[in-house]
Amino acid sequence: MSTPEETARADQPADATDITSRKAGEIQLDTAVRYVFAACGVLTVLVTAGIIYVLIDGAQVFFASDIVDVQGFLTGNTWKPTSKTGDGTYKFGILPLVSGTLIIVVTSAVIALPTGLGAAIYLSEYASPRTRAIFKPTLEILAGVPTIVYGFFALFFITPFLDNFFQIRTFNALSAGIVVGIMIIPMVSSISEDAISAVPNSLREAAYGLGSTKFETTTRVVVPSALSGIISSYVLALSRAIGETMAVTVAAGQSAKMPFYPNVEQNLLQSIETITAAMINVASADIGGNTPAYDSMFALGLALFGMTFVMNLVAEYIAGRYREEY
Amino acid sequence: MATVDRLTFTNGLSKLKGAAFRLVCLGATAVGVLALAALLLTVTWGALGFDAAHPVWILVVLTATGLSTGGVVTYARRDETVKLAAISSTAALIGGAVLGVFAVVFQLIVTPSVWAAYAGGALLPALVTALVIPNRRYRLPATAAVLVGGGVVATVALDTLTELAGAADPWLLYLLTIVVPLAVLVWTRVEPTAGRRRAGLLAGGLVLAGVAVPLLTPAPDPLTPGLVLVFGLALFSPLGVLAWRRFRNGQSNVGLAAPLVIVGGAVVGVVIANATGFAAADPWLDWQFLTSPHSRLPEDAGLYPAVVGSFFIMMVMAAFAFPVSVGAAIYLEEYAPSTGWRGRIVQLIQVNIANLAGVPSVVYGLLGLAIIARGVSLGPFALWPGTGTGVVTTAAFTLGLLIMPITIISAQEAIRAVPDAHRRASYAMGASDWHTLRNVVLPEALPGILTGTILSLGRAIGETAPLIMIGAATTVYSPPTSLNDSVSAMPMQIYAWAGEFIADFRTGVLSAGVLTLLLAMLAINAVAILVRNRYERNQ
Amino acid sequence: MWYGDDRALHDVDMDIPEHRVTAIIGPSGCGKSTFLRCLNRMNDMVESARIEGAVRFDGTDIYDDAVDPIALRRQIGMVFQHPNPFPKSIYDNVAYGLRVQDEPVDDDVVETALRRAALWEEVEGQLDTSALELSGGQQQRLCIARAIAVDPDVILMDEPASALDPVATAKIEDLIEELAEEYTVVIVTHNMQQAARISDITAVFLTGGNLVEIDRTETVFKNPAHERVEEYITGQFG
Repeated sequence: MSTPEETARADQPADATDITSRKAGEIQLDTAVRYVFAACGVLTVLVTAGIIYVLIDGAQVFFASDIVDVQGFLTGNTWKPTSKTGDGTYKFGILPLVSGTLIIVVTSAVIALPTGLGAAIYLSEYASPRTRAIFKPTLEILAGVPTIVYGFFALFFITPFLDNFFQIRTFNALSAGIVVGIMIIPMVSSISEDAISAVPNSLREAAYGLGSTKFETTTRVVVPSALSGIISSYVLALSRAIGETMAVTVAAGQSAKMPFYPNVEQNLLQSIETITAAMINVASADIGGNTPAYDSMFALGLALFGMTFVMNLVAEYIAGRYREEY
Repeated sequence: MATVDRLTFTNGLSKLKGAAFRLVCLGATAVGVLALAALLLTVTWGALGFDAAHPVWILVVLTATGLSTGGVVTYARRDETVKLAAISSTAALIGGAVLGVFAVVFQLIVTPSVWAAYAGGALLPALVTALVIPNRRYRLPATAAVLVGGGVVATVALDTLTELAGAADPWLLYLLTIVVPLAVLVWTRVEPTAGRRRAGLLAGGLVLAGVAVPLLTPAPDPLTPGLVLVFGLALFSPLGVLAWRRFRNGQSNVGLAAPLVIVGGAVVGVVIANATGFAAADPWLDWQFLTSPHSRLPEDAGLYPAVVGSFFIMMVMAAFAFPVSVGAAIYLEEYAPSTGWRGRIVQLIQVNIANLAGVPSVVYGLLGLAIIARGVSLGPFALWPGTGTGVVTTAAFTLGLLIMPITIISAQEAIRAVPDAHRRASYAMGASDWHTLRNVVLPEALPGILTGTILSLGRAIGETAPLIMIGAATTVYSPPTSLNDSVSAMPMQIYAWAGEFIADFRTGVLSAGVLTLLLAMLAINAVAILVRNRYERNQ
Repeated sequence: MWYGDDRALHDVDMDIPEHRVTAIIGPSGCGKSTFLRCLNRMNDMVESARIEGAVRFDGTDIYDDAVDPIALRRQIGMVFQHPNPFPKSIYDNVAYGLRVQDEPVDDDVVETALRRAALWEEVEGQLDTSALELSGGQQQRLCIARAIAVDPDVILMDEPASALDPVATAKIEDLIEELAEEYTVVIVTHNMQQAARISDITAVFLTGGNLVEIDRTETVFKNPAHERVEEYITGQFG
């Protein structure tokens, strides 16, 4: 590479134009401000570090006790942290809680994934600006309703309604799953709608140009093109369902149990306990710090954090790929 | 004629399929709306005690409310400016109510005499300085100097000053520290355009109202006449500003009466319905509910300590979380390098923030419990003493960390929306980073940043799980008055009521609590939408 | 001058005389705007930008470590292709540069700058209204007023009239000729007639960031030394 000579001379008279310094303190102020803002950015990393530290530290104390080891925790099929079982011991098996969480996730997915996608398609492809102006804010409000209110709604509205059709318990997985589903509809619809709106119009025009109907264009061209965005919204919404706490604590009950088989329908009609609800129950039970039950919250928290963290990363990765596509 | 056939041939089945698909999608969109409607209806019905009322009574009230609302809507629809006035005045009143609750809770916590000490020692002198100094260049530094200096003086002499202030009635203190300065401010703004007579009337009327309201209106317990004054001022000041702006721009102010007409219609409806002699509704959500603590008897139970607790937590949280979140957003948008290994670190921070936004709130509760409440020590050194379980500070910090990622993301979007051309113009003038940020970027991004932060406030006010994890009490009987007091919050009290044995708790009282919480959340969101709309109209 | 691994300018060597209008012309993508942004170090904002060689201003190399780019930009004003007034009042726009330098703002300075930018008659009495309410041509003259309010030595203009209609363009061109009495003006333009009309010196960049010819404007347009330049000027490519 040659050394280029890029010189431009401005033959100015040598008057007092100082281009090497500014008023005292100006540069220092600039630097100080930059560091203050950078510190704010670093704080977010500290929060993550803090969460991971707290969870691992607590879980390690929990597993160091002689009550349960990692294997027993992951494979145990009884969860009794605060009251003793028949054989006089506390039980810390996460499987019934995982089963409870899965039941809620599956139920809510059945409700929210198709509904959210349908809403996203309607809002981006069919709705007039006027209808959009009504539906969009409503969905935003739905996303903002406190989760405990959803729990109340399930307990005192949905369960009595379902009671007309099924033999259902006051606390049951079905109504909790339904409200969690309603809760995550806005998440699916808004992220999916962004992805669908991001599909270039040229693709739609190409489809129409080949004589497709609107239905064919939407289902065969637009939705498949936006698929990665839609899947990303699904993963994020399910991650949210896993972490959802108050609605399931209030509506799904507090009895950890392994799944029913072969009477599968009982899984929905009986009360269950999710990982999050178990944490709330231990926290609200009157137990001191440094007991196995207290420490178990951190082990549960670690499991929960791990699951949602992986799902969020996956969603981020998929979404990143679709952003690159156009 | 095969060609024509081809062109006119429509596949009936395909048309049907398209229409059915459209209908299904519409149905999916409606699910959310229907669920929200069912939710609001159940809660309102229970909270207002409509199940105790005779159907005729309900019918009369609803008809009257519907007529007045319908009347306002039909009237406002014909004229765009009237419509705008009706919408903004409703929003301004809601915003005023939110502001009023914050102001009252703030005064409850700081107490009138401490407020008076700082207002008299620092705020008022600073205000006078700002009004007196004509030169733009010296105004800001001088005001800031007076503010800081006065603050230091007031802090040093706090005991003497509060004793002095304690001798006077609280409403008198508010009159002197809030109403009179406000009247002066109104005078200075109104006088140049509207003339002396009008400005004098307005300012005088304001002071007169400041004297009359506390003296004439009976203050319902636990509000004092002073607090009624504070709430009234906060409630009506956004509406006042709105009316003044419209007056100045020569716009009609008829639409401003819209919220009054609607409420008036409902009141008239209730009066008529009561006159019919049919059983009236027995609302659970009433003044008693908002001003009493929990009780063993459903009729006596209330949400007062939890309301104060919630708003107290929100204030402390906002003071900590918003500056940090906006700072992080500014760093990521304006300063952070995008290339090289430093750029990769910044990318990592960005991914990390997106991930934090997805961490379940109950996990933040564990963080709050183990670190914020219990402290961190490295061997014998206490790095952080810990704020204790279940107190205001712990709750505020925990919720603050929880809303930080969403606040950062929304603030980033607002900053990103500022056109690059403006930054370039500023840099080409020889402006430094900080100057550009303070004078160009932040002023333009502020409405967007505010909208995002207010919305995250709406999210935080309903959070329950983290509060349970940090050991907040579900029920406290007196509101917190300091940062180290045990605190409950609205959703915590609601959670407690859902588990009560007496049925009235689980229906009426619970509904009243849920409705209060929902109204608070909706009001906060309305304020955010108001800010956003004003901004969009100004563009 | 490089952006990452892409070399944007090659071996540029030119003198920019004081109190003259120097026009830089050339086909799109020839590096003329890049060169202009080198002169007040606006390229510093681009992280991948890198420069070798020297740009001397009053004999000082502005890429010297001792030079503060921000202090430099206070001596070398810039006007951009698209008018970019701040969403503030007209007064605050003009006063912005003075506030940046922490200098006292007085109404006379604002008035003088607006008069020099031939905008005063049109905005007198409405200085407090938003600058965004002005027309495009007025906005661009406001940007010029903003740049000269701080009395810089040099004004750089990056296609200042390309986003404007012919009437507004004519006004800007008149203005540039007047400004040359007091300032050194460097203007980038893709419009050759414009360069011919207003400039004293013309520099021609051709593809690949090469400075091909620089001379008095008349010479460049009537009797160019290079065949390629003649082809470009007579419209055979570009």
